[in-house]
Amino acid sequence: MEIKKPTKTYDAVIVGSGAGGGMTAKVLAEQGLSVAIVEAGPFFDPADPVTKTQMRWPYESPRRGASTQRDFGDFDMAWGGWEIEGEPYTQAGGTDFRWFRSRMLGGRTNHWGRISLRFGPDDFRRKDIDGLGANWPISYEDVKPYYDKVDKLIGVFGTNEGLPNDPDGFFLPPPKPRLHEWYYIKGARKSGVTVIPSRMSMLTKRINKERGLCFYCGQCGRSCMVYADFSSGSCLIFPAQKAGGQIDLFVNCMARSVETGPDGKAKAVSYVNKADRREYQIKGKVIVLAASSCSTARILLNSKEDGLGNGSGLIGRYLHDSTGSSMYGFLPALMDRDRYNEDGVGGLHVYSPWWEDNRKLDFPRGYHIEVWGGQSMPKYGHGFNQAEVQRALGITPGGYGKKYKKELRRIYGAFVGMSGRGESVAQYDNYCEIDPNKVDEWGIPVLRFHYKWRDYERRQARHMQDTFEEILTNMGAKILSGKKTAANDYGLNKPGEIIHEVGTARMGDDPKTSVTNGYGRLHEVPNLFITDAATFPSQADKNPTWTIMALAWRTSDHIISELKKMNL
Amino acid sequence: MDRRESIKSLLIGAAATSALFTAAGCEADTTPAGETAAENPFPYEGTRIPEELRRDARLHANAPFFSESERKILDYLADIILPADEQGPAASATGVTDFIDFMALDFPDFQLPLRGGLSWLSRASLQRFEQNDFMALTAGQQLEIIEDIAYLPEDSAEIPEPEVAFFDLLRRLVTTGYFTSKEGIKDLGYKGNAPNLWDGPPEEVLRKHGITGEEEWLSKCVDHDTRNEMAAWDENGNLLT
Repeated sequence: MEIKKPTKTYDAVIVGSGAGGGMTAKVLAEQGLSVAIVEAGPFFDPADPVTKTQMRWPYESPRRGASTQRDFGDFDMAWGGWEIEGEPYTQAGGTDFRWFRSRMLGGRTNHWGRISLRFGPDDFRRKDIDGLGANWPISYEDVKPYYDKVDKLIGVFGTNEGLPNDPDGFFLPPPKPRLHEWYYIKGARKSGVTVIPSRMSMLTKRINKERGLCFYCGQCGRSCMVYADFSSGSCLIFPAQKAGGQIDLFVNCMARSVETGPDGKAKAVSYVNKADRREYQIKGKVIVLAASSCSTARILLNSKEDGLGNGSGLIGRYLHDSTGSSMYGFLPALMDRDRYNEDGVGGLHVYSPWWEDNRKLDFPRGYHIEVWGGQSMPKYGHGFNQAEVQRALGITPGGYGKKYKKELRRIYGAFVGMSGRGESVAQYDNYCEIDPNKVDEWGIPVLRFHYKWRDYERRQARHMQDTFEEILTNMGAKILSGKKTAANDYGLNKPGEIIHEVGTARMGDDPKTSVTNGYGRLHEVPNLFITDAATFPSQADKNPTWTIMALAWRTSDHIISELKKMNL
Repeated sequence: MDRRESIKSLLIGAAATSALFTAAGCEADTTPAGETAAENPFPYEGTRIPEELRRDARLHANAPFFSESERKILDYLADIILPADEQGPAASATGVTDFIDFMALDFPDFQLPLRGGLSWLSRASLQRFEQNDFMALTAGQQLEIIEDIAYLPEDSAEIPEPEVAFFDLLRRLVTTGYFTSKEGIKDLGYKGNAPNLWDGPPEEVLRKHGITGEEEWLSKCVDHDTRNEMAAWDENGNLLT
């Protein structure tokens, strides 16, 4: 394999090629800067017919798509997962944090759920509202112009609803609800739970001549070969390269640290090239970390004793993931369904944004509800819950033969589930640090995690379980997953399992209580920026990707402006 | 633009390299589920990363997990669980035994219960019918044994006996294996994995389920006839095209 060696000093070296790194590379390259991207995984293009998993059938996998090898199954487009051979992490004090990494160009944007939600005005000033955590140093008004630009550049369907904390945007039209989603709509309305069309980044309508339009296979998790969904490669990096932008890709290159000069400025990124296992340095006038929250913290902590730019001691601190809790049931009304293609887009066509006022509740932050179910493509696990269905229907569980086979046909597509995705409260004591006693196979010291949920999150999960039970009951469903109780933390997912980890280098105005300023610029290193979710002081009950991209664009504009003023 | 033209047009552009897919996609309306994959010249291996290929190779090197005589019993039990009927073939004809054999290697926790269960069948055969080969019993004798292990406790919290748990695991694997096979998908009637323009459930389905009076919601949804018109908004985010 040819080893690409860095020979020049780039205007900007960016670590990571996901939502943040891709957006930063695009904006900087479009302004004429020479850009290097350092990516720990190989090159990936969703359009490559050899690697594509889209439109494959379960029987093309010897395990029928089971998740024994890839966490979300054989066809999911994440090369990596919660565990990566040779790249471990450790836990302290009973912590069970799960750290998901995709080692590939585009990172986790290749498989993510494409739920594309803006943070609302309240999400930037939670401390003002409930006294917990920290406010952001910037407001919704600062970010709004960038959300608008991201909407138009990437494309997101949804509807303008005029909701106070779920802002309107520039939406493409949403797909119509599926049948089980109509049942959900009715069930949610009956309980006074807001329900609106979902907001997701697939192209239901043309926004440019380069990208294809959605053909409703429901497989966005496999990454779209016609670029009808958002991924960082297809929508940011490749278009910027095609437009003449100077972006050099250093793939299979595992970043270790940021090197600084005697003037205290960042001057290079050190990395291991996985192909020859040797150490290299790549020089940049500006260095941008967009390696994902925990990787960015790890690089900074490995860059200098006690961490680079870590006068606050907060790098790695305030790590927080979204909460999650789920319930699902069986809808007898959907038995013996007419068969038709209802793949739709990959994921939900309707959702519930947070509808309550936390001041009247016993937990401080909200959540949104995602809905799933219907006549989806059979995959590994199909029929595994038949005994539960039989019990719900009063049939003796088990059996065999023609009767059993007929039962399985009758109940196909009659399941519906809902998952809450909520905001947790960032805690100083939830953090990652360098484990002094362990390195990965590249010789880089690994992360050790400390993480515990609080009652804030448990009570929120209890509210989820109560709500889901009520809505499922309204729908006429029989609950199959049971109702989770205090004994199992109300079904709370383990931290890291929702893959929305943020907060490890939070932004703020005060260098004593934050790592970067409002532009993601390290207080202590003037030419070092962060454009992933490490800078989020709080997380909102929304998925982070849209905000990562809006902030990365904003930071990139700031970098250009500062370069012009000779401030970097 | 009619639907077929529209589907064709959406595959041009970024997918220019996927010429074969384009051809398959345009036949989507007439191709029964499960018939496009055979034309795919790009093997599954292309979708794997090196670590996965190495692991798969290790698994395949140990195959088959089950002996020839064990596989015969598995074939037989698969067809007891899901026999041929007017809508689909018997499970053994759809490759479920190969699938179960692979899963036993891929997820070793399956090995003991499956193997132990097969052994238990021999013991039960000997005890009841003085013949330690389950396959040598009459069909009536075989069913007598199966009938004893084919049902789970009514209470899901109750842990079933090992032989019942064995049959339950086998039932699950046979069920998944069958309904994820080409024939099983057709049997089930899954209509997707084909390019289309989703426009909501069919009218008669909505009527049957009493979904009416939702014009306001539907008025906000996509109109596929204008999907190729470039999106443009006014300053307030109202879509103009």
